[in-house]
Amino acid sequence: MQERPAPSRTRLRPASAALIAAITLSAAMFSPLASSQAQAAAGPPDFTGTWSRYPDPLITNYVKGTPPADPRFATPPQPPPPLKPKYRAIWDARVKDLRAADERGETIASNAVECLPTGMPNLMRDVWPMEILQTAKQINITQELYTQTRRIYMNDKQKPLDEVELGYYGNSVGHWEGQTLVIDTIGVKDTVMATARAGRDVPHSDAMRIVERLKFVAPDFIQDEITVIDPEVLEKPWTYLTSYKRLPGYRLVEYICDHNREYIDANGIQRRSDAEGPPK
Amino acid sequence: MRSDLYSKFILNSMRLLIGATILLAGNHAALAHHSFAMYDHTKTLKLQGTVAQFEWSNPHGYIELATIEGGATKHYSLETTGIPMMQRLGWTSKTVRVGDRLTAVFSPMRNGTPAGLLMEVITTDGRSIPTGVPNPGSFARPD
Repeated sequence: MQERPAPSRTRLRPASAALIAAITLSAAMFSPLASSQAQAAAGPPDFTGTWSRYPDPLITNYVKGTPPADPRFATPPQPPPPLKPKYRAIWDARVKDLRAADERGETIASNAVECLPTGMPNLMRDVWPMEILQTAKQINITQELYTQTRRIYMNDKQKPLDEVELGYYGNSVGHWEGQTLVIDTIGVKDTVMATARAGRDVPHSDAMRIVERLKFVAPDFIQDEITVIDPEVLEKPWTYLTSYKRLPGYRLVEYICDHNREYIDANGIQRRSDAEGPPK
Repeated sequence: MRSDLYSKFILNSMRLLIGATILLAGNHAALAHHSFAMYDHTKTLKLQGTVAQFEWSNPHGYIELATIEGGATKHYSLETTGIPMMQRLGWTSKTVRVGDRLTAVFSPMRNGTPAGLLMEVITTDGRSIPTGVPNPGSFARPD
């Protein structure tokens, strides 16, 4: 009598194999893993559209009866920057100056007084809407406040820092990691965030690097995980999340400060007399 | 529901929020281009006058209001927030015109100059048009 071969873990009887394949296939059709695989096969997501911060401070602070934000998608509290002691002292001093100026009924000089761009990374947290225009080679993000635009060059190699002219937005390159847009930015000059707006200033060096991971968390919600890397100023990288909700039908308006009654000179903030009116 | 609420502001900018009240919550000091500490938060005034000028501009708009005080004309310079925020509350560059008579509700300057932060405009037919101020809960109610 011929012995039947011992059952092997790696060898299934045809009927069993077919049944298992059928069960696996059905499970795969409905599993999250399968849907992300299907998405990956379909290509990267498209962030094109107009987006507001979520929750939107411009709505929640001016409109009665706004429903509370969905906790699954709301922007979580921002942790404070892990500043090294020397820079923490600078930050604390500026907060103190701000409080003292408030007591006197005065304003502290800052970039915001002259409507200078918020720049990177803070333009991603400005409370006005932003517009994303995405193509395969370039992604533009325009922030309504001060009409700021940053450009992300897809699949470009990041430049060495000494080849980047320092500015407000820096040089941004992007690439896809699955469904996540990863953006690397360098070249933001050290006054951009440090003297941005009294109460929001954060010291940083010219060598600050910003890494972002932008992805969909739901069909109408995207989230940007921003990491600020600045070994001279920060004890460790500073990471925080910002959430946005789709704002269909809204067209960004201009925000050009051509009637600013305040200006800054060597003595600080000056205000044109109200009788004098704005600059022509 | 929330997107409908937003649409009401954005897509129907000509429609004014009749009788709307400003939600008194939140600290928006950080949104100001200058500190709002220069206004007297303990005193909110109401003045009747005629619009001498309406600046629809950024970072702030202005209504120059001509009032009569002690038989003489006095000009008050009343500041508003910038265009995008005004638009969200239904304002346009034509909401108020030179020559309009209105009542201005504002927080006056601490230093006594005839100027202030405009919080609300009330038209001659009783319509209230809020301008939207940062940290509105920090200002006194009008007398």
